[in-house]
Amino acid sequence: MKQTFLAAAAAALLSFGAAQAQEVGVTATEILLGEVQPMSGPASLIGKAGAAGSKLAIAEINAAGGINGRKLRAIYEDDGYVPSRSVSAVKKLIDSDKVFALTGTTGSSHMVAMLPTIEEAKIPTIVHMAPNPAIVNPRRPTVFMIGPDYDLAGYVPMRYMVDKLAMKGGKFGILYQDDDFGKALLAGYQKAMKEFGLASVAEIPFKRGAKDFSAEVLTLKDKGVTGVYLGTLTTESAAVMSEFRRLDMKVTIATLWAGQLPAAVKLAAPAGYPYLIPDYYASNYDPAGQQLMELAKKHLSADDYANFNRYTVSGYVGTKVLAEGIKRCGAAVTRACVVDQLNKLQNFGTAGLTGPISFNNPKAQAVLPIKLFQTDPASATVKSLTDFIAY
Amino acid sequence: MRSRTYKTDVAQLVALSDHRAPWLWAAAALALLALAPLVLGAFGLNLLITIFVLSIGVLGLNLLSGVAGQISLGHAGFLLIGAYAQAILTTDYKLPGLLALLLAGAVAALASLVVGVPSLRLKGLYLAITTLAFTFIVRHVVLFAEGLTRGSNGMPVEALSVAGFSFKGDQRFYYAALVMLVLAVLATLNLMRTRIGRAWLAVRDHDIAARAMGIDLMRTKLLAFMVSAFYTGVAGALVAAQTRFINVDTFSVLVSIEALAMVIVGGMGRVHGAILGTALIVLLPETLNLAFGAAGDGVKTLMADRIYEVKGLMYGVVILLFLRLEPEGLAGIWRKVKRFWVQWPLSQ
Amino acid sequence: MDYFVNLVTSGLVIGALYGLVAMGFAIVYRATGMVNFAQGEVMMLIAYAAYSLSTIPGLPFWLLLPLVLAASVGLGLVIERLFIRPMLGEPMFSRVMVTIGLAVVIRSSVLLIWGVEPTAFPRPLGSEPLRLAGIALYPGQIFALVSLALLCVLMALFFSRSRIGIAMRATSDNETTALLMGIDVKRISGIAWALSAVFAAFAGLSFCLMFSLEPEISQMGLRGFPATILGGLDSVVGGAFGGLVIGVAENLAGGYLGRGLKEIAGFVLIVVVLMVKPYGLFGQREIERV
Repeated sequence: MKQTFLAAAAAALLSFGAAQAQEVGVTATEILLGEVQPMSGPASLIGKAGAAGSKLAIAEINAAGGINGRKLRAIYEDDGYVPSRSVSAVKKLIDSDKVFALTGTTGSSHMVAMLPTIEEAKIPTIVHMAPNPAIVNPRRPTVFMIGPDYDLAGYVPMRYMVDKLAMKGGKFGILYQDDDFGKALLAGYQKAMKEFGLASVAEIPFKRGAKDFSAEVLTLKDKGVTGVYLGTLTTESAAVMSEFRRLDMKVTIATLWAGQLPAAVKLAAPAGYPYLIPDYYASNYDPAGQQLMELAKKHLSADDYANFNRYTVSGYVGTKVLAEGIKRCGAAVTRACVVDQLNKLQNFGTAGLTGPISFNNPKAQAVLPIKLFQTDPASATVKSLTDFIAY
Repeated sequence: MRSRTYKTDVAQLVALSDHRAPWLWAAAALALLALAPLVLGAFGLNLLITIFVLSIGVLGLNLLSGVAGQISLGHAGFLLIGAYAQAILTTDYKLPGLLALLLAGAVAALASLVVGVPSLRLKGLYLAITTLAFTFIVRHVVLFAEGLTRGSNGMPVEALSVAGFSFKGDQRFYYAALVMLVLAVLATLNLMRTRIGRAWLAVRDHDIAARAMGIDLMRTKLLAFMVSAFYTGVAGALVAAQTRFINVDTFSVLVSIEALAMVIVGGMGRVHGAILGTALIVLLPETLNLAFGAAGDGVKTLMADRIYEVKGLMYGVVILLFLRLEPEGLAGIWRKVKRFWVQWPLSQ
Repeated sequence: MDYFVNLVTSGLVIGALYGLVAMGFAIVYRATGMVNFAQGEVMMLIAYAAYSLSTIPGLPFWLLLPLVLAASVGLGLVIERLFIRPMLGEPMFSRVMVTIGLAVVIRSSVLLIWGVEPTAFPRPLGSEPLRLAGIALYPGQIFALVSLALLCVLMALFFSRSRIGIAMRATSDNETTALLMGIDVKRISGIAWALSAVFAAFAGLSFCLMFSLEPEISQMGLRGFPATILGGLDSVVGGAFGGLVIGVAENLAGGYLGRGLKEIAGFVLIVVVLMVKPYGLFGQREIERV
C-alpha cells in the first residue's frame, strides 16, 4: 500500500517538475523576493526601516517598468529579533513562499543561524544590514555582503580624534554591549588604541536593555576620561550623555552608525554634546540622502517616510544591487545566473548613497568606505565632516 | 461504553490502559505523524519539530508546576543549560549524540538544585521570583564563562548523530524528535502513577498536610525540580541540535512565560494538555498569519505598518478569551468533547 | 568618598523608580493575593497617555498631573472590573495568566496607537540639573525621590488611620470575616487596583522625566520585581524600601565590581535575603491552617 502511494507521489512530482521549466520564484511577469526583518520587538525601528527601503527600491523599479519586463514583489517575514524565529521565517520563505532570492537578513547572530538553511537551498542572498565577518568566513557561494567590517565602527572615530582633534595625550574609554556586536566595536577601539599608542583607562561592558548608566558614567569620570566611545543605541546614548551633563564632564564623544538615526539625534540634543558618527551610508541631511527622501515621499507610506533613516538607505541599496544582478541576466533569470553576475559586480554606483559596490573579491564582500559625521545639538541635525574614505 | 475492569495478573495491573482502544488510537496517531515528512515541506516539518521538542520541556514544567504545584518562571534557564551542554559536549568534546542528550538533561537537573533548595523555604510567588532570578543568573554565567561557551558570540552545534547515523536535516530530525516525545510521554504517564507522582499531587494540594501524612517534603520537592529540569534540559539540547546555532538570546525570559502559558492553556497537570497547549501557542502566530493573508489586500494595506502590533494584540486577546471561557484549558475541552462523543445520542 | 556618595545618590534615584513600581505590585497583592504581571504595561499606557495630554497647548504641569492621576484611577477601576473580577474563584494560576495576557494586549495596543519610535518627553520641571553640596540632580530625578517619599508617608497614614485602609488590611487578613463585618470586599479590590494604577502613573512619569518616552518602559515592571520581593510582597512601604536597597546595591556593584555584575546584583541580593527571611524584609509570614 505504501509502495503504491510513494510511486504515485513520485510520478506526480516528476510530471510537475517537467511542466515547471521556470526557475523558483520567477514567472513570466514577476520575480518574488523575500526578507526576514525584526519588525516587532526591540529592533523594530531598524527592521521596519530596512523593509521600507526595500519597498522603495521595488516601487521605483516597478514604476520604471520592472526588470526586462518582469515586476518585483517581496514578502516580508517578522522574526521579532529572535534567532530561532529567523530560521523558521527563512524556511517559510524558501519552502512555502518559494522566493527567488533574499534581500533582508535581520541581525548578525540571526543571519548566522539562518546560514545552514540558506546554503542548502543555494538561494542568492544579499546581506546589507548587519555585516558580521562570520557570514563570509568561509565564503558561502550564494551570499553577498555589503558593508565594511564591524570593527571599523570602533576604529574610525578614535583615529579622527587623534588625527584631527589632537587628542593623542588624552585618556580614553569605551562603553560596549555584552554581545558579539559590542565585542567587534571593542576590537576596533583597541586596534586604534594600539596603533596610536593611546591610553585606554576604562573598558566597560553593559547588558543590552540597561536604562540607568549612572554607575558606568561615574567610573568614566573617576578615571578622568576625555575621549569616549559609546557602543550604545538611541535611547541609551541619550541617557549616557544626560549623565555626562549632570556630572559636568568635558568629553569628546563618538558612537556607532545607529547614532545617526534622527530619533537618536533628537533625544541626545538636550545634553548638548556634538558627537562623532562613522557610517558607510549617507545621512538624511546629505544631498544623496535628501534625494532619496524625495523619492520616498512619493512611494512610501507616511509612517515609513517619517521613519526614514540610514537603515532605509541600507534596504534600498540592498534591493537595488540584487536588481542589478537580475537585470544583467536578461530574459533568462535563474539563481545560478544571478549569482554569477553578482560575483562579477564591480564599482556599482548608488548616486552617492554609499561608496561604489564591488563583489569581485574572495569574500564577495563590498567593503565600503566610511564617512564621518558630527551632530549639531542646537539644530538636532547631522553634518558630514569627511567624505567616503577607505580605511 | 467501557466496562470490564476485572484484572487477573500483575501485567494487567501495571499496563497503562486496560482497553485496546487507546492503544489503537495512539498507534493510528503515530502512524499519521510518521507519514508527515512525505506530505509537508521543510517549513511545516520545522513547526511540528518545534512543537514536539517544546512539548518535552512543557511536560517537564507541567510536572513541576501542574503536578507538584511549584511555580517556576525559570525554565528558560534550564533550556539554556541543556542547549549549551549539548553544544559543548558534541562540538567541543565530540561525545556521541545520545550520551550528550542524557548528560545535558543531567547537568540541568543538577543545576536545578540551585533553585530547588530555596524552594524548601519559599512558597508561591516568592519561589516564582527566585526562579526568575535563576534565569538571569544563568544567562550571566553563560556570558561570563567565555572560554567554555564562546560568550556572546554564540555557538554552532553539531547535528545529532546516534551510533553513526546522522540526524541532519529536518526530515531525519523529525523522527528523532517524535521518538523523544513518545518516550517523554510514556515516562510522564508512568511517573504520575507511581508513589512519587502521587506524593507530588499531595504536595501540590497542601504541603503541610502531606508532611503530616508522612511524605518527605525535601525529597519530594527536590525530585520534582530535578525531574522537571531533566526534561527541560533534554528539550533544550534538542532545540540546539535542531537549530544548529545557539546564543543567550535563544531562550529569553519571555520563553519562561510562554511555557507557563502553554501549561495553563493546555490544562494543568494533564499530559495531553501539555502537548495541546504547546501546539496551540506555537501555531497561533501562524494561524493569525493565515487569517490575515486570507483577509485580502484591503485589510493588509490598511494595517500595513502596524500589522505586527495587531498580531501581538490578537495573540493576547486569544489567551484572555481562553482563560475566561475555558479555565480548564484545552484538556478540559478535550474531556468535554470526548464525553459528548461517548454519550451520544444521550449527551447534554 | 565623592565617588561613593555619587554612586549612592544615583542608586537612590533609580531605586526610587523601582520602589514606585514595587509599591504598585504590593498593594494589589495585599488586597487580592495576586501578582499583577501587567504593572509595567499599565505604567507604559499611562506614560503614553500623559504624553498625549501634554501636547494639548497651554496645559500647565500642575493641571496635567491631576488629570493623569484621575485617568489612572479610572484605568485601574476599568481593568479590575473588566478583567479581574470575572475571574474570581478561578485558580490563582489562571488569574495570574490573565494579567500576563492583559500585559500583551496593552503593550500591543500602545504600540499600535503611538508607534515604536522613542520620543522626547517634555520637561515641564526644567531640564537643568540642580546642584547642591557637590551633588547634581535633574528635576525629574528629584521628582522620583520626592514622589516615593510622599507616597510612603501617605500609604503609612492610609493603612493606619483611614477607614478604607483599615478595611483593606482586614480584607487581606481574612476575607470572609471582613465580609461579615460589613466591608464591601469587591469595592476594596477596585480601590486597590486604582491605587496601583496611581503608583504606576508616578513611576511612568518619573521614568519619562528622567529618560524618554519609549516602548521599553514596560520592561520596568519586571525590573521592579526584585524590589517587591525584597520588601515583602504584601508590604507597600517595604516595597519602596526594597527598591531603594536594590538601586543602591546595583550601583555599588556596578561602580566597584564592574564587569556586568550590576544587572544580577539585585537578583543575587534577593536570593540571599530570602534564605534568611522567606517572606521578604517586611512581609507577613503566612500562617496556614492544615
